[in-house]
Amino acid sequence: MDRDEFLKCLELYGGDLGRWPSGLVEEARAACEGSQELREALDQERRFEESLMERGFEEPSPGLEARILSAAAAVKRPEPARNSLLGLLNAIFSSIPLPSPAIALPLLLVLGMAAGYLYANYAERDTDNAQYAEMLYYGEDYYE
Amino acid sequence: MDTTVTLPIGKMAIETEGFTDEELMGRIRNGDRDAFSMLVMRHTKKYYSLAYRMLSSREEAEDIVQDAFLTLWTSPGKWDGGRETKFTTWFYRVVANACIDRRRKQRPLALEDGFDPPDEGRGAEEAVEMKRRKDNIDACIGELTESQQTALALCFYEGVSNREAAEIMGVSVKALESLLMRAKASLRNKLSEERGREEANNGQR
Repeated sequence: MDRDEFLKCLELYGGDLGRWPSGLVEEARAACEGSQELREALDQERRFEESLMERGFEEPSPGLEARILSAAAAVKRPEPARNSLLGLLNAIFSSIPLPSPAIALPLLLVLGMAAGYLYANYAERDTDNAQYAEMLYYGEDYYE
Repeated sequence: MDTTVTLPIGKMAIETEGFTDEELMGRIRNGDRDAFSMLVMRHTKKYYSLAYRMLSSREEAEDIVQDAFLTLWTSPGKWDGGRETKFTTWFYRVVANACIDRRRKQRPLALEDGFDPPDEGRGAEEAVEMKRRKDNIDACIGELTESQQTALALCFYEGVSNREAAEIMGVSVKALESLLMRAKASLRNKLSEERGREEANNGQR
């Protein structure tokens, strides 16, 4: 790792080498050992980060989780619609952690079968209608 | 090993192990309160921490986290488990966006408070000096752009990886890294200017 690469990584990942991507840590340590300039840059970055940490932090109130749960208990939650077919499907599929493609595939299959069934009925009816029309047109000759 | 935790609401004790966040979300969609409690107990501190880093106020950070969890409870369908890779990444985004919205609403007040930090710390006790430094850093961070502040809160203060932070913010890793570098460079300048002013003032006394 050369000087510029080290300085760039220092800016990106910070002064704690333990938080650098694992593949870079050993190279960074080696680069640091061989260069006074890089050691100083590392110290400077650490001092800068310490000064940022002076910003302070307040812990949350001890009962925050309980407060959230109480508030949720008081909220009226819309019940999942189980009456409709869509609601039922939603209830079934949402309880199973499936990725969308896994749901989409059987759904497409069902839709395809339904469309095929409907089309078959229409086609049959069209054929009947055509025969009937021919029968009317040709009259008695139709059967000859 | 005992892996149960007693939750404060509903007198329930459920296994802490064995359910991923995504599985809990599936149950929450069906109105499972235990699953919701589990998620709240598991993640509240983490999301509070981000909200606090972005707002610098305990009350506001707590409000943001509470609102985010309540929205999750009332409208769990907002999380699309199929598209989102991780629940935590998505919820970080929800909380970060809520903080940005909150800050935008308060912007005039924040500028008034932040640009002219009180000068009460000079030569005073250590606690006062600490508060002055804290206010100063808050003011410097407050002057960064929203994206730079979010990147800094996620990567530096929360220790989220650059890749996950980029996903949370909806930007490329390169863009995230650029935001981080600019944020740090800007802070370095501001803090060293401040230090210079401090030293000059001390020299005059």
